[in-house]
Amino acid sequence: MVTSSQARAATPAVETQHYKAEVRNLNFYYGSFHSLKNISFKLEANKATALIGPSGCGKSTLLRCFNRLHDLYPGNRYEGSIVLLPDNVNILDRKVDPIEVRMRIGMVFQKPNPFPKSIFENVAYGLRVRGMNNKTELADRVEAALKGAALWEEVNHRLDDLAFNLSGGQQQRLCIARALATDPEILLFDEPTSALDPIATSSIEELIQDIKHKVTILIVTHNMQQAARVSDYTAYMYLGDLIEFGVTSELFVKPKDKRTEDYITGRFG
Amino acid sequence: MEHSSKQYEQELDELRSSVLAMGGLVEAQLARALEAIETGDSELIAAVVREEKKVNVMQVEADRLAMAIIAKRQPAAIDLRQIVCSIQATNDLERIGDEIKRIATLAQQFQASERFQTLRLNEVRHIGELAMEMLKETLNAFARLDVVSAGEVIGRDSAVDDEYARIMRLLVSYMMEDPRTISSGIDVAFAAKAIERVADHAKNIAEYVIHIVQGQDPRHTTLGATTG
Repeated sequence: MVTSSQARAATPAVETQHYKAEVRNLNFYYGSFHSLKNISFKLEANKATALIGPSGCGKSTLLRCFNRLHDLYPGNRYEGSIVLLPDNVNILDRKVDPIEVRMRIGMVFQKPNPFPKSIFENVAYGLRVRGMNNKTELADRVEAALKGAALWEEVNHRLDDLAFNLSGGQQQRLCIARALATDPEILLFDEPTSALDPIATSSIEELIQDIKHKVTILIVTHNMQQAARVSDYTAYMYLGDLIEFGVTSELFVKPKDKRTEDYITGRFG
Repeated sequence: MEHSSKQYEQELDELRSSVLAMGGLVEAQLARALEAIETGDSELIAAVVREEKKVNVMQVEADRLAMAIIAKRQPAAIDLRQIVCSIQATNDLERIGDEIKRIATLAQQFQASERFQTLRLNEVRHIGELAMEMLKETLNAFARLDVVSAGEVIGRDSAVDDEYARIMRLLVSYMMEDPRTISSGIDVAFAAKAIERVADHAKNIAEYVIHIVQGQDPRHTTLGATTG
C-alpha cells in the first residue's frame, strides 16, 4: 500500500519499483525522550537513500533502528515497524533475533573499526560466525568481498598483515568488505567518510555506487553534497520528524518543503 | 531567511547586482538606439556601438562571479536556480546588446536614405516602445523576483510579434508598389526584426524569474507532455 506521504515523494512509475524495506509509523524513545516521531517511508531495492538533517534530528537513531543497535542499551523503546521485503519480517519484533537481523543488514561506521586481526580474518569473521570453515570457500568469499570493496588489488599480497597497518581509507573499505562478506540485503552507512581525506572519500563514494546492484543502501551523512552525489533518494529529518522524502535530483533543485530548502541552502538558523 | 554564511549572502547579492547593472546598461542602450532611429544623431550611434563592448565585458564578469559561487558553495535549490538563471539572463542581455548595435547601425543607414521617413518613425517607434516596456518590466521582475509581472511580460510578447507581422505586410505592399523602395524597405525590416528579437530575449528573462521562484522551467512548456 502506498500512503499519501509516499505518493508525495514524487517517485516516478511507482508500479515498477521494488522495495527492500518499509518503515511504518516508527516511533523511538530514549527512555522518556521521544526521538523519532511517526516515521514512514519505503526503501527502494538496489538504490541508495540518504538521511540528512542537522545534528540531533534523529537520522543516526533511525539508521540504528535498522539493525537493532538500540537493543544494546536499557530503556530504549521502539513502536511501529520496519518490515523487510519481500518476506514481510518486522525486524523490530522482539521475537526476531537481532543477530539474525545484523547478518541481513550490515553496518559501516563513521570511523573505520577493523578488528585487531589480519586483513583476511577481518573479512572472514562474519562467515566464521555463520559456521563456514571450509578454507577454499572462505578464501573465495574473502576475495570476492575484497574485490567488491575495491580493495583486493591493494591487499592481495598481504592478507595476513594486521588490518591496522592499512591507511584510513583502506581500513574503511575493509570494513565495507567485512560487511559485504555475509551478503547482506541492506548496508547501513553512518557518516562513512567523515574521518577520511577527499581522495579516500571519493573512492568510498564510488564504491557505494558500485555495490548498489547487489545491496540496498541507507546512508547518514552530514555532507549534503555527498548525499546529492551518492543517493537516489533523500530524506530530510528535523527534530525527529521526517520532513521530506524525495528523489535526490529533485530535492536538491526544488525541495517541496520550505524547511528542507532552508537547510540545504544553508539558511538554517 | 538569510544564509548562516554572510559571505555567501554577499556573493549572491553581488551576482544579482551585476546582472541588474548589465540590464540597466542594456536598457539605456536601447533607449539611445531608438532615439537614433528618429534623429539619426551620429554621436548617439557611435556611443551605442562603443558601449556594446562594455555589455560584453559585464557578461564575462557576471559569469565569473556565478562560477566562483558554484565552485565555492555548491549551491542548492533556490540559490542554484538563481545562479543558473543569472548566467542565462546575462546571455540574453548580451544578445539584446548585439541586436541594439544592429539597430544603431541601421539608424545610420536610414540617415542616408530619405525614403520611408514616415514609416520608419511611426512604425519602428511603436514596436520599439513595446519592446522597451517589456525590457524594463522584465528587469524589474528580475530584481524583485516578481512572478506576476514576469507573467505579464511573457503575455506581451505576442503583441510585439503581431506588430512585427503588421510592419512586414506594410513593407511588402510598399515594395511591390515601388521597387525603388526595396533597399530601404529591407533596412526597416531588419530594424523591426532586431527590435522583435529584443522582446523575445526580454521574454526569456521573464521566464527565468518564474523558474527561480517557482522551480518550474516554463520554457517550451509544450514539450512537457513528451519529455515528462
